[in-house]
This record gives sequence, C-alpha cells and structure tokens, in this order.
Amino acid sequence: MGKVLEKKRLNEFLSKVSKGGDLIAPVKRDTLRFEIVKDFNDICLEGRPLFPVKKFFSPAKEDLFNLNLTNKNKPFDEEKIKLKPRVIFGGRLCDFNGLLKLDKLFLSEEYQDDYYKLARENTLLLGINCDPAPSEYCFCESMDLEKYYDLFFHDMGDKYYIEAGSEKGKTLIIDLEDYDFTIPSIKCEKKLYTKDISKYYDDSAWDKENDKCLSCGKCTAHCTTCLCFDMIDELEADVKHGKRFKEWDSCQFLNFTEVAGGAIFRKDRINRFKHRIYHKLQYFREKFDMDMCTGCGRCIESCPRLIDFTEVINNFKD
Amino acid sequence: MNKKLRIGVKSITGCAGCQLSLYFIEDVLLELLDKIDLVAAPMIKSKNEEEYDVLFIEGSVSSQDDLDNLLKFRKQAKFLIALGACASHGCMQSMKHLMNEKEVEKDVYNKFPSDKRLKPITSVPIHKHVKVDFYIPGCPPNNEEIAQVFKWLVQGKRLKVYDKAVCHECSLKENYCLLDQGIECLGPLMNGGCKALCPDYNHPCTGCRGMLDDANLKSGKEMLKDKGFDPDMMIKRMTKYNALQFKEFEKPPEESK
Repeated sequence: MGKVLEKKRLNEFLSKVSKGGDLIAPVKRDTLRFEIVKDFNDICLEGRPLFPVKKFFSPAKEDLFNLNLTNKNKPFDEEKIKLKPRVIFGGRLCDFNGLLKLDKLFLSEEYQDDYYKLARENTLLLGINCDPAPSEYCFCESMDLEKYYDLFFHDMGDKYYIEAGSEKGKTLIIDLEDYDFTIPSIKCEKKLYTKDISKYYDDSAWDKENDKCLSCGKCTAHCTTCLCFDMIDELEADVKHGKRFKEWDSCQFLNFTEVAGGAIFRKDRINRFKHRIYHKLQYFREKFDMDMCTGCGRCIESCPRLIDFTEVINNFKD
Repeated sequence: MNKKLRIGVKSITGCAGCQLSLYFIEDVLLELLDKIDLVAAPMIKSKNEEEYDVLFIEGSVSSQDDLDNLLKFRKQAKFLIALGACASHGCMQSMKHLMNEKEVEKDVYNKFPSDKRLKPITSVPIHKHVKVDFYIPGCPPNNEEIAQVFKWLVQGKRLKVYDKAVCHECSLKENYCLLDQGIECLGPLMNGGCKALCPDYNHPCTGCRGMLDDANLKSGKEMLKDKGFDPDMMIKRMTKYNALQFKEFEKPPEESK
C-alpha cells in the first residue's frame, strides 16, 4: 500500500524533499532535458528526455587529478568534488534501471568509482510511471525492469499515487494519506522476442541494419547504460603541470579498440554494431545475471537512420 | 631537450587564416620560447630562415609555384604538418574536382591572360604531392588544438588527431539534433574535434575537418532522403571543403603500386 498526493501540492512536496539541495527534473526548452530546476513551473512530465540521467553520476568530461611537480610533497592532487544532495524527479523506470546496471559496474567491491559512489549516495530517485509509453521506440516491457527507486509516482488525474521503494523513500512520504492501489505495468507496442542471442552471431539479419550505420556514436551517447570512457593525460607546456581526465567514448568508432602499435580489433563496422548489442544482452548477463539494456529505445530514437536492433533480433532465422 | 626545436610556418594557396590562428596561441608560444625557435613565421617576422625540425604548411597546391615551393619545403623539413582544411583536404580551391576544370579556368583567368603566375594546376591537398607526417584539420584550425600540438612536440609525445564524429561531441553537449529540426547537418559523416561549434549554434555542420575515415556515404544519402532533404544538396555542401575526399569516397582511386 502506498500514499496519495494531490497534484496541487506537488511543488510544495518537491520543495520539501529537495530542501538544501538541487532538484533535477525534465525541463522543456528547445527540447526536453534533465536539468537542475530553477523554477518549479518549468518541470515538464510530458514525454521523456532523449538524454538520460547518467551525466549526473559520471559527467561527459570529468577531471580526476591534477599534477604539480613543483610541489615535491604532493605532486598529485586528487580532484575533490563537493556535491549538494540532489533529488531527481520525473525519471522513468528505464532511467533508474539504467542506474541499477551502472551500480553493478561502478559500485562493485572490485572496482569502485568514488566519484560515481558519491553522486549515487547523494541522490534520491523519484520516478514517474509511463502511462502510456512516452515513445514509440520504447520496449521496456520486454526487458524485465526492477522496481528501483526511492519513490514512484503514478498519475491519477488530480492526484498522484506514490509508492516507496526504499527506507529513505518511506520516510519522505510518511505524513501523506494512505491509499490502496496497484500501479499498472508499462505497456509498449514494440517488443523484443528473445534475449538469448548467443547462437545468432553470424545471422544475416545483422547486415541490413548495419548497412545503415554511420558510426556517429549517437546511440552510445544517448544510451542509459553506456558509460565507456577514454582516459586522457594533458601536460602543460612547462612539463610540470598537468591533469588526467576522462571523457565518454564510444565503441562505435573505428579507433575505439586501437592499441599500442596501431592494431585495431574491431575494424569492420558490423563487428562494432554486434559488439554493442552483445555487450548489452549477453556479456553483461554472463557477469551480473541481468541485461544491460533497459528497453528505453533511446538508441533507436537518437539514431539518424533509426537503426533498430530489436528488428535484427526479431528477424533472426531459427 | 638540449637543442631547441626549429619550427617554421609556410604558406601556399589559401587565405592565411590558419597561420593567423597559430599566432593566436601567443601565450603558449611565449611559454615555449626556451624550447622552440620560431625560425620562419612570415606574418610576424621579417627575417625568416630555412631548414626546420617541424614545418607547418597552410594552403593547397594550386599553382606550379605552389608545387615547386612545397617540394622544396618538404626537403627542408624533418617533420611536416598540414595546417588547416586547405592543406589537409583541399578546401574550396578543390571544388573544381566536381566541375569542368577548363570552364572554371576560362571564366576566372581569361581576364588576365598575360599573367603567367595565374596559371592554375589542379588544386589538391598537400599529401597528393609530398609525405605528410601529421594533420591539423579545420577551417580555421582550432587554436587550442594547435597549442596542444606544440605541447606534444616539445614533450616528444605521439601526436593524435581527433577522429570521432561531430555527432559524438554534439550529443555530449546535449544539443537538440538539427536533423530532427529540419536542418541538413552533415555531422554524422564528419570528423569532430571542433566541440561541435557550428551545430551548437544551430548552424549545420559542413565538414571543415574532413570526412570520417569510415564515413558511410551511401547511408548518409539515404538519411538525407529520409529526412526530406535533397541528397544532391549534400554533395554541394561537401564540395565546400571536401570535394576531392567526396569524389574518392564515391570512386576510390586505383592503387598505383
């Protein structure tokens, strides 16, 4: 059982939960983006932003440490980030499931990313249900998403039904009125018929979509879970100062797999295309027992040729 | 490093904007003066020397004079860098590759038939005539990038040109895709490194940094058709910087060896 909140009290509620921190929500300017909200009236819950929320946890470009060889005692100075507490409101189930997958990678005991961890610990996730699906490219119904959020809102006309998904979430809505309701599951027109693609690496269905690929990297930049990055060292002219930073990269580029000596492992476009999908549906599952894809359809929607990997998979020959 | 690097800049046919961009990194140049000697810089020095460790060349080969000079420069330089769109890809001078060259020449040069210096040859980027060790593309090249190359040179690091599509940098900036707004942007086919400067200001990319090494031209044309544009428009837009590259993508030159 959850709680209920009248719509006219939404802004009041949001300002209460985000007090002393930042509220992040979809804001419509030329297009819809997740932004730090300055005016509550800017929040737009119609449609979903094409750009996912991953940037708040691992920005497109992030400094890691500074180098200063003139300081003998401390040549390396790690970049300390201070983060205000943040609340993301209006994320969809796919957005937050994307974080669930990234948590597996960046919060693992083996390889923990301190920057990512800090950002995750300081962020509350307030989701909203998709009813109807916000884009014709959505296929999350096929992707077994989990209830991964602190609070989840469902639009009921003049009020929101709210369900808590964490202890933190429960305390936020403790004062609200109880309400008995079951949130309907998300319905998508697009379906992915199978997720077991191991047998189909050489299927001819790959070719048709691959021929359209421009290798522009928009699919990976817009993906909720793609966070591959390049590590870059930059040295000043004096050869004493410098920094190391990371920047998002993409497996769809020719030179992504270039190694010392100049060898490139995935020279052919089709191998890059397949790698992206196999990573999402097979390699990640082998390690973490879940898919890396959330079915948000952003890779399709952002693609200049609308390349649709579900079409490939749904057209495999048995 | 004991010996200072002897660095020079030389021009053949172009607007000289690339050379100017190079001087815009004056603060970095000042910092580097104990490591480099700017031995030839015709725009800011009256006395210029020859023989270079590193030579930047701007402009494309568009006349016999250009060619003679370029061959001479190559002999004088240990390491040769093509600076800017003309030297790297041919730029506007090479638009003739998609036209009837004789007709263009007749229209332009017949006014001064007596001046032999104006006798053009087929305009090409410099790698068509000499070995080029590194490229800094762009029209004009980004001065931050030039500064980076100078730093790499004095540090002895391997130089690396940005080789990701314009769309990548544009997406990282969360720009609303111009193609979805009815503007015929060529970003998906073009080399970035410009931080998507033009699309960032709602101006379509026309590819001043050249086409991607593995640009999918066929799909690019389909894309423009799907979005309701005229694919021939793409050809016209591309000829601004990349006529020769475009032609070679359409019909790869036969291996000479």
